[in-house]
Amino acid sequence: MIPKILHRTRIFQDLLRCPGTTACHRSTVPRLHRDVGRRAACATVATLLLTARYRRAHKMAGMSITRDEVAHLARLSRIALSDAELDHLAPQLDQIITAVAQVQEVAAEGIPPTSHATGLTNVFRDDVPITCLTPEQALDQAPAVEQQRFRVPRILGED
Amino acid sequence: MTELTRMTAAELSAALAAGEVSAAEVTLAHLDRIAAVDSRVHAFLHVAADRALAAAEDIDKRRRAGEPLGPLAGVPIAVKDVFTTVGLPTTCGSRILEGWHPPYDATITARLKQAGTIILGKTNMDEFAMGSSTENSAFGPSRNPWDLSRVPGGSSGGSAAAVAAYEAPLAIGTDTGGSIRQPAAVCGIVGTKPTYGGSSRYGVVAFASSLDTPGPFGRTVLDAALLHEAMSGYDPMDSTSIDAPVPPVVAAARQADVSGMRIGVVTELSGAGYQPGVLSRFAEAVELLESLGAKVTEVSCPHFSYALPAYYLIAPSECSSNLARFDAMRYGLRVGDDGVRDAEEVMALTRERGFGAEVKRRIILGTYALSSGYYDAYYGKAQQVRTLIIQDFDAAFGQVDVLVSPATPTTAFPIGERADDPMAMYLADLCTIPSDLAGNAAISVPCGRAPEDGLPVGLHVMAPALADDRLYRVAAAAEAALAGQWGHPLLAEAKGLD
Repeated sequence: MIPKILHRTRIFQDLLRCPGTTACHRSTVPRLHRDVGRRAACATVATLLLTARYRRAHKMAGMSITRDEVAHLARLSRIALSDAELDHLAPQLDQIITAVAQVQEVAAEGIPPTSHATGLTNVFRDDVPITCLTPEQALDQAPAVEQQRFRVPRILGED
Repeated sequence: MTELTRMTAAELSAALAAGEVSAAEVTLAHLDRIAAVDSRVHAFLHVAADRALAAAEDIDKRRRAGEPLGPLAGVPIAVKDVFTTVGLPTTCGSRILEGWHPPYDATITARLKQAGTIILGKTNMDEFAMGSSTENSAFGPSRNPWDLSRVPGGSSGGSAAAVAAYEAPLAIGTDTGGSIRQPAAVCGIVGTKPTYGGSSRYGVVAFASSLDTPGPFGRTVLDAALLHEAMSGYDPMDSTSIDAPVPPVVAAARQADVSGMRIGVVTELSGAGYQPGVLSRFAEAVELLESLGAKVTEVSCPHFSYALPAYYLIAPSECSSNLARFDAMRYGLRVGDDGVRDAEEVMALTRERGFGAEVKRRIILGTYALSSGYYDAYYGKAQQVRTLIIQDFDAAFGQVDVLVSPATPTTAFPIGERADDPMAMYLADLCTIPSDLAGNAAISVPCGRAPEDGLPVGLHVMAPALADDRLYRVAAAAEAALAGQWGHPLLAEAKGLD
């Protein structure tokens, strides 16, 4: 069984950052390290994480997503979730992810993915000028405007 | 003459063309109805009374001048608040877009104006079209005209409630996982999800771009067909628009004939989890179609059982990407811009304050499903399941002309019952999701009331892509035969507003 402490996102990110040293493997993924051998390449470990064996093991750990993972995903999504919301959302997301993971039961070996049902590819319009919004129209609904531009909060750090 | 708000769009069209009534009178009657009942129904987020009356007077003037006008000229319509409308706010039921006035019209908005329909206002919806009850609207839920303590379905619940409450004869909505057909079914009206790409997405605020499909609501199958025809067709502004003629839906609705049609009952869309009264009304509708000359067989679509989980990976994944545009920089809400916080902090605070719980759940779920390391196991796998569902449809449509199922597993549920139970809420779209994933066409038409609660049940008909006309043949045949049995349209039995 995969130890609970090894949250999947963390492991994967740590592996991506992993310099490939023994020390790194030992500190971040001790159990997997033993599983796949000392010289396992990070890519191999990453692939292993997606195998049915890993997923089964993970399921046995009882949690498909943790509060910390939800907090991390919220940061990636640029949503400043409150602690109360995290407490509320994490178990709901865990329930949802457990339910949607059913797709993994389907035997889909060799089945091509569908991203889009129409089958259209490479749609171009004629290269002719069309009217577009005036600067006034484009800026009309902006939260803040300065010198005919969108004024935004600072985007670089102080230093 | 019948009270104007009780008339169908087709009847109004005829009366307007014959000069028996003016567009201004028709519009005023509907605005009066809205004023009388919408405080209880809450179908509308914005009512555009002055604009609607001005547009109606313009139509009357043009008609008096002898200008040729389309069949829907002067007929009022309610527009889901997901379509951009110049001069009217577009909120998508979200605080993040509260007070936003879009700078351009959606293609469908423009087509409705060109067809001469009178836009009465914008209707309530689950925030960014995510939900099955309108309870996720930041501006409070709409109510079901059959029973005001129950949901009108969603996400296009405001549009469905407006039509069912006689506030508008027609409305438009969008269907991503069932958001037209499910509210139509639980409000006892007709709603269609056209073939994906058959109706333009330009100016429809995006939720899940590979699924979002605008479509019509009406109280009759013919009304839905008239609107379907007026709003559809190729749009070069939408790169996924299909360059093909609109299927002959109005002719099909008038034909209303199923003799010789092959109808397949989907094995997987039935059984455990379905309300008994829904199943009994559905079974009777199938028998009725058989008695009208259709050849009914049972067809198995084994992967439909995985449609719901696949959908709840694909739609949130697309939404997590689409809703990244709400960044507090160019339009919409901005929170915490105090001159000290940087752009990312302002963005995160704005999205925290501006989005409701379900939108946050889905953005986070989608971000998870698309994360490196999970992509193949979740999003990738869901895309493969999508292929298998399309193959199930292809195989089925090799044997039959249309497929049928109940439109929803249950009738309208009480407000609050599933509001904080996402998985229970998601089940409302169990029957409608396969057609969205496959991009083909489907309709819900009323087929009676469930005996246990007296609430309407929808018959769901699914057809191959670009065969939307078959939906209208079947739905119109069922509608005519059922109205013959009942002696009146089903909606005449709705007593929620009495």
